[in-house]
Amino acid sequence: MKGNIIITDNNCFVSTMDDVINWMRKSSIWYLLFGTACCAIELMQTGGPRTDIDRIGSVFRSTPRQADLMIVAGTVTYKMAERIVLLYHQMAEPKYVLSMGSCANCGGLFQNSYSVLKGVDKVIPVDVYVPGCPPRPEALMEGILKIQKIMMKEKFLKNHGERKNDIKSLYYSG
Amino acid sequence: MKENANLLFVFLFKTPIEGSGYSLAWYILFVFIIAGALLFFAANFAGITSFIERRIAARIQTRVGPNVVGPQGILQWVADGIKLLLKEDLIPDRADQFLFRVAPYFVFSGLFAAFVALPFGYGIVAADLNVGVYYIFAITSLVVVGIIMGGWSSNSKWALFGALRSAAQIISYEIPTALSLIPVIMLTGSLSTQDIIKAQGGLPWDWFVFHSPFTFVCFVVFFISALAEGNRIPFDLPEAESELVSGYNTEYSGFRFLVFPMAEWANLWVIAAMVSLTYLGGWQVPFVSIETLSGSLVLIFLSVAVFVIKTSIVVFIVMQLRWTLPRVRVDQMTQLCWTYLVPFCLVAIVGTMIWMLIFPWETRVALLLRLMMFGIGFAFCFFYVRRIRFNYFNDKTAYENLKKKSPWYPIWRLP
Amino acid sequence: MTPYFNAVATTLYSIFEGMAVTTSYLFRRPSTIQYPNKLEKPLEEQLSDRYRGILQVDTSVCIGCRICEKTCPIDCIAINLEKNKETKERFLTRFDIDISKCMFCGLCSENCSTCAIYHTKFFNGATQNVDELVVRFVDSPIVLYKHRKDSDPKTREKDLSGVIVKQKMVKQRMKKQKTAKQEMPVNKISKHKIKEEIL
Repeated sequence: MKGNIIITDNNCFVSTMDDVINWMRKSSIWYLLFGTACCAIELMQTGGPRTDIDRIGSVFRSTPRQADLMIVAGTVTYKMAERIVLLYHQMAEPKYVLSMGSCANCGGLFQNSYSVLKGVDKVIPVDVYVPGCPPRPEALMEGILKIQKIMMKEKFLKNHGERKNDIKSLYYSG
Repeated sequence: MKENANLLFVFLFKTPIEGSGYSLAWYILFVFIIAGALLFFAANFAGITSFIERRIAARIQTRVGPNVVGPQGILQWVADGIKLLLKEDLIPDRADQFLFRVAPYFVFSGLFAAFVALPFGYGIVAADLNVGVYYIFAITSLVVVGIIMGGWSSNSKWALFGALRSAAQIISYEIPTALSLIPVIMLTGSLSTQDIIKAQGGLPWDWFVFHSPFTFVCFVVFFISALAEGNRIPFDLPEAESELVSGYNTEYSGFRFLVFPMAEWANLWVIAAMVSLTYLGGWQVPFVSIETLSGSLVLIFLSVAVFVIKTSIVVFIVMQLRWTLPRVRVDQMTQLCWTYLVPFCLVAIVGTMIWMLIFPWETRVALLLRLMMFGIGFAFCFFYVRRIRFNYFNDKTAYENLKKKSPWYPIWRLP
Repeated sequence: MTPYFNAVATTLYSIFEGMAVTTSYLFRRPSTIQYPNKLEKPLEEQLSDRYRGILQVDTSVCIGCRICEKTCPIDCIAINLEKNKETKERFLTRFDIDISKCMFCGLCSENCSTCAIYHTKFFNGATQNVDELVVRFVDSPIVLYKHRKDSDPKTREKDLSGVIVKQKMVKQRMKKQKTAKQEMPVNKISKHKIKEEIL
């Protein structure tokens, strides 16, 4: 994809292509199969029969190379944080991160612990935060729907498949 | 190949291909057209089957499956494919660059080449090779070369483990697969796929499955070992998610990864088509002889429909087996191959030989025995349906008391 | 030889039985609720009344005892009280709940004597900005509630759908976006310059 398409700004064709491509991308968000603590149980439940996340095309991939979304489910200790950063770097662009539960958001219950990272956004950029301890499966599903909304706003072709836009600036643009 | 191209040419332009001047150019053009058509079929079959399997798997697990992307989710496979095309193409730092790039093409071309000898209906086959069946075995073994290349060049221990397991599995299961087809070849006297189908009949008791108890055993053995060759559950050891991260394709991303599952799904058609053409009568239409079949175009299309329906049923059974059985261990896998399937095959080959001598195909006694075998098979299916009914009604009252609604929601009712 | 053939028979029989079970599931109703677009009835109706969702404060009945702030094991509630020295009236000037930190234990709502703070059935607070999850319930100072003999605020009908929390969260987001458009903030961690060493 890189460099094959010459793109002018605000071209009509490019914008519709962007819509189609973004629709394809948002329809198959494959998440990385890992969990750091108890939120992972709820993550499994989200893939289970009641809140079937396969409906919106999300399935788990056990290798970071093939995953689009990293769901940080649970308490992140300092020791685990190194692995999470490694996994994040192993993922292929474009990649997204969802922070699930209080511990991943800001340390939550263990915020005064000597061994717990106070929020996973201190080591990797996070797109969506889902509050809850743990969040309901439906709340996690809302988080993934939020990531779909972010995807639809992006200009994929203009950035040659990389997410150059600052996450925060995308959010603030509307 | 040449005859088919000639037939098509005569059908289109009413003159034989040799008299048209540029005959070589026409032949090459036909080769490309046929290859394109087969590739189109294989790729689309792989995509659509992956979607259908996800829906069936979901219903088995009382889920719904992908139904948001497009009407009832039928665009799910397009979305998956295009998303993977657009993903970054990662090559690990210390990977063997050349082998890493080349491996997916080996895997896909190995499977795609098998489509050349597979028939789709009466006379509809890209190349009616006189060694068709063994060509398919030989060429699908190219897959294991690709898998080993991919696994080794990734420079990852999980990929290497997966590749080695795959090598052990596919190479050892070649033997029962080949042995279990020997009765069919003995009965036919030919290796050509079309000849094998022509030797059978349209009605179930003229199929090779019901020829004798020995061919039935061979049918079961062939089905099991074909599953193992296609890396399907319960033999999906090369990409066992709970043991190896994702097996031989751990380090692949984007389009290079897409080729692996595409080959796997296309392989599903190869397995099912092989099973249906060797043992289940292929494209033979009931009550229609081959002479009348060759005359009319409508009947040829009917034969294609019959073949596709038979193959789809086998594909469905393979899918259901995947969501029914757990994965076998490595030692169980090799044990099953060498201590069960191979001895059974050898006994069945000898048994079929003797059976052929005592009851030749045309005799009345042989027909009676085939009818008896068919009766046993029918009874088997009947008990299967009874068990399904039993399982359904066993939980019915409990469900109704709990949920206050009927559990009846068949698969053709789309949620 | 008998165990050998027994193994074959057991295998075939168990596959037969297993296939019959899975096939029977193709005719049963799926248990998926199809959230969010094809729900049979709203999810909040399906939740029980004592479901511990996101906290909400009814500031009109808060007596300012600060018990919730003290009992909270992780200090996610922050309360400020002010006193007018002339009229001796006490005001509630700040009541913030950090939902991103909250662990939904229910200690605050159990101890509240007027049920001013309680759990709603509202569970979905997914945002792109973690600061947004600090919900500020007091915009301008509010006079504290005083116990009266004729009415018991515990028996009042509570708003379990969480209208106030939703409003406050939307309001906060709008405010943030307005200020952010003027001065685009630099991201805390630039995507391409992630520090390898942690803290």
